[in-house]
Amino acid sequence: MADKEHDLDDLFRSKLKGLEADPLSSSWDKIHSTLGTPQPAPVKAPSFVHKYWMVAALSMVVLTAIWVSYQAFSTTQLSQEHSSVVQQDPGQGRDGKLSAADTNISQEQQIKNSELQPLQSVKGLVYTATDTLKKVTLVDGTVVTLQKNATLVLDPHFPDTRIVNLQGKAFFEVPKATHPFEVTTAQTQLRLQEGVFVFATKPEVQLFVKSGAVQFKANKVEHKVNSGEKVSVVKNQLSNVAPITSPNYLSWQTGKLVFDNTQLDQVVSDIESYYGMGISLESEGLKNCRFTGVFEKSSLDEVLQVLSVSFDLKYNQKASRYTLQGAGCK
Amino acid sequence: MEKEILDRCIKGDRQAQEILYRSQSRKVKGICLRYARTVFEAEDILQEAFIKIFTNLSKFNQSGPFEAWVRRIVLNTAIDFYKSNLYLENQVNIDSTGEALQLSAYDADQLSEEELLKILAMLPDGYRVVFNLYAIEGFSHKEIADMLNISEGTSKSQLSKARNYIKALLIQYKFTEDGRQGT
Repeated sequence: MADKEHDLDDLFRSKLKGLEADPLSSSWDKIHSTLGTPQPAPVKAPSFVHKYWMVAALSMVVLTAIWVSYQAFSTTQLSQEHSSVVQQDPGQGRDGKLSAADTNISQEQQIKNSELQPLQSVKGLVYTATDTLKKVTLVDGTVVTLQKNATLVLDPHFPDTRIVNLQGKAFFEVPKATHPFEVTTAQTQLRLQEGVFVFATKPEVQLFVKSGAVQFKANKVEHKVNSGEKVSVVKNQLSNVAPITSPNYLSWQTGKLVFDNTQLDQVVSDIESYYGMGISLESEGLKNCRFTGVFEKSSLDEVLQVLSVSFDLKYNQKASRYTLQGAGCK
Repeated sequence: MEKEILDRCIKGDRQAQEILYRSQSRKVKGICLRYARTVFEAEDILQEAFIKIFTNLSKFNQSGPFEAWVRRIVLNTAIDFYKSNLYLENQVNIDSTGEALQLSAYDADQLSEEELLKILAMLPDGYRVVFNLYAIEGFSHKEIADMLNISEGTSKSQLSKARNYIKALLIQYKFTEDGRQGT
């Protein structure tokens, strides 16, 4: 007897305890509009908002019904004076309106109920790379490589709408689909059909497009960024589109630093962002040095030693800052 | 949930709020569906719960798991939603001949999540809430009694009525299913 009770409880628990389902997309808007202002709104607000919208929706139906019956009325009874038509309409319209409203609601109910169907559990909607890179393949075939500490959040309707939210830095390889792919943040919007790009939201907002064409909007300014181009947002201003001068915007992902007859100040700038250390050149002459070579998963010390030998320079470290010293090149 | 996101939510950062919402909303919707009679009500509970989560976020004690805190708020919201109806329909009488039939007489495991949800939705509110809390969430009768402000005895009797009701529905369901298969 007791076992049977357990069977029943187990059946429901095993199937429903971890149940997940998509909320209606309008729910977030309602929650957000209630939170809207910094002062928290009363908790009761959402159901009020909900009712308010129901009333608004119903009155739309009423208006439509009145308009429809008005149309029908005025075409069948052409000889009627308009003023009397308008006066008679409310009474006539009300009958038509009620059934129109009913059918409208039951249709809506059917749509809502059908949302019960897709209950199959979808894999995580949130991806976070904690302390290493993380590569994820989304259901639309998009491959995203997240830098450590980056978080990617998919829209609940993904891939019906290909919208994601990103925090941190990531490398995107986006295949073509019927909908454009969008990356949104609080301040920026990015949209493309297909392509490959790196997008970072911090420490600063940067976009590097490897292939394809990306529409990028920040603070009401919009640019089209093509293959081999970059933009950044500095002090809330979207920069002009500029060519990508260094291939090393991908180093964080590939582990490779590539230099091809590259000026030393650019080399140092790439090394700085790859290793997260400050490096400065002591003399102007050092900027004239040009370096060619590839570092693959090398330590910062190895890189600096190679540079030292190449250009006969010394380096020293104070706190988290390195300084390169030497006569430089002509 | 990362502390940084929570801190930004407390400051009212919309992007962080959305990240939090997107990370929790599917689970929350799952809970709401179990407690609600209709999808509309589930959405209403979900919205109220998230408003509470965001407005009370500063009270979240970071030592415990965030998901558990969220779950508790959702449960309380769902309970509040049906509190006024919880014991109005105490007198629903079900012919529990289901007792005599073996539950294993049919393959209940084949029931889908949707079918189980439909069965839950058919339960009177009081039965549904207690069955959820005891059988699915795993609370004791003592805890349920405290949460709903009822006696332990009432919790036990509501649970047993809920089980009988479910069995009756399952048997009814089983017969209609077989009937459909037979044709």
